[in-house]
Amino acid sequence: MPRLSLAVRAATAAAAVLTFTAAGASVAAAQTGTINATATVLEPITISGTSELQFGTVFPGVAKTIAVSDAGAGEFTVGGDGGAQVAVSFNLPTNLASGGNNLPIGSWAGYLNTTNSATSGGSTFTPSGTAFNANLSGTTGTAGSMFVFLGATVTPTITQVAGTYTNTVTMTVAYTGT
Amino acid sequence: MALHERERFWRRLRPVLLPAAVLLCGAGSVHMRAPRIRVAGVQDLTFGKIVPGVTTTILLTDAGAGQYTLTNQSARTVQVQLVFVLPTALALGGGTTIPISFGPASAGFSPSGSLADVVPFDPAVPFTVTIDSKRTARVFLGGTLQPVAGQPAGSYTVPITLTTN
Repeated sequence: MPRLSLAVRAATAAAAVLTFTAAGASVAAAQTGTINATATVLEPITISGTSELQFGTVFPGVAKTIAVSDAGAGEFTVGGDGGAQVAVSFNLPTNLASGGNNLPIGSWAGYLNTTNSATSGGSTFTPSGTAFNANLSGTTGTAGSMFVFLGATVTPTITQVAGTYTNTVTMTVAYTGT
Repeated sequence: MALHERERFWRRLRPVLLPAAVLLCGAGSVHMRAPRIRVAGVQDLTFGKIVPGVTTTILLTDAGAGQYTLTNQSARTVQVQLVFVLPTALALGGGTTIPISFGPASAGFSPSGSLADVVPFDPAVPFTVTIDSKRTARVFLGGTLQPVAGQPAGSYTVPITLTTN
């Protein structure tokens, strides 16, 4: 029966074609996953010299020390991102100068605090050009602050020339990124 | 064709058509059970605290690298193509953004899910990988942020989508 044979062949062929097509469709369906890229940009750091380091009147041959808690202590105020870690370093002069005359500075002292106090709640340190790390007050996303007090000792010679002596103390503060 | 002839025709055809139909159903079910990869974003690409004006890079091997898992749930090895939708900036809101960029080795694929056998690749280019059956592979993603000197403070974010084809 020709008609029947033709139908059988057609059905078988269709099945074979479809089977082949299905077997070739072993590709995984598209799937997606999402993450976020996140970053927190810190508040810019601000530094201001709040108080000069003032030795006042100094007598030839008599060393004079200004402690960090003295009225004449120098002070820097630092602002930035709350809780952020910063690296602190100094560029310290070895002399105060008056024209061509120098008044030697024998030593330095420092006190660092997250509140504006040179007597409690902070910690002492020895200022130098070598950076050390500290944290601003507060938490991320809020304004943080730090207060740095400086003292020092000047050692005038017995023949120290009279005059007004001065020099510049520079403090550098930078985020460490942690 | 007379009615009895038509019935006899279909009766003789049935033994052939029935297996064919079953075969078609079977073929259809193979298609339905095509190997399936489940993709999940499991860790954000985290730059942490960044400083205005300081370019920051997270490598694909860094702890802050983004991570996706690719789970082959099927009983056979599957080959898929990884395609990222990469952003060009992180946003703070109000139109404030930080440019983000990706390099030729910012992304990495690990068939085992470990950094020990990670293979770097360019996330900007579709990348074909093979995942063994019943295994979870992992994709790592780093990037570079370039905040300007006066970059406004705040928390910036942007989604990054990975698609498997």
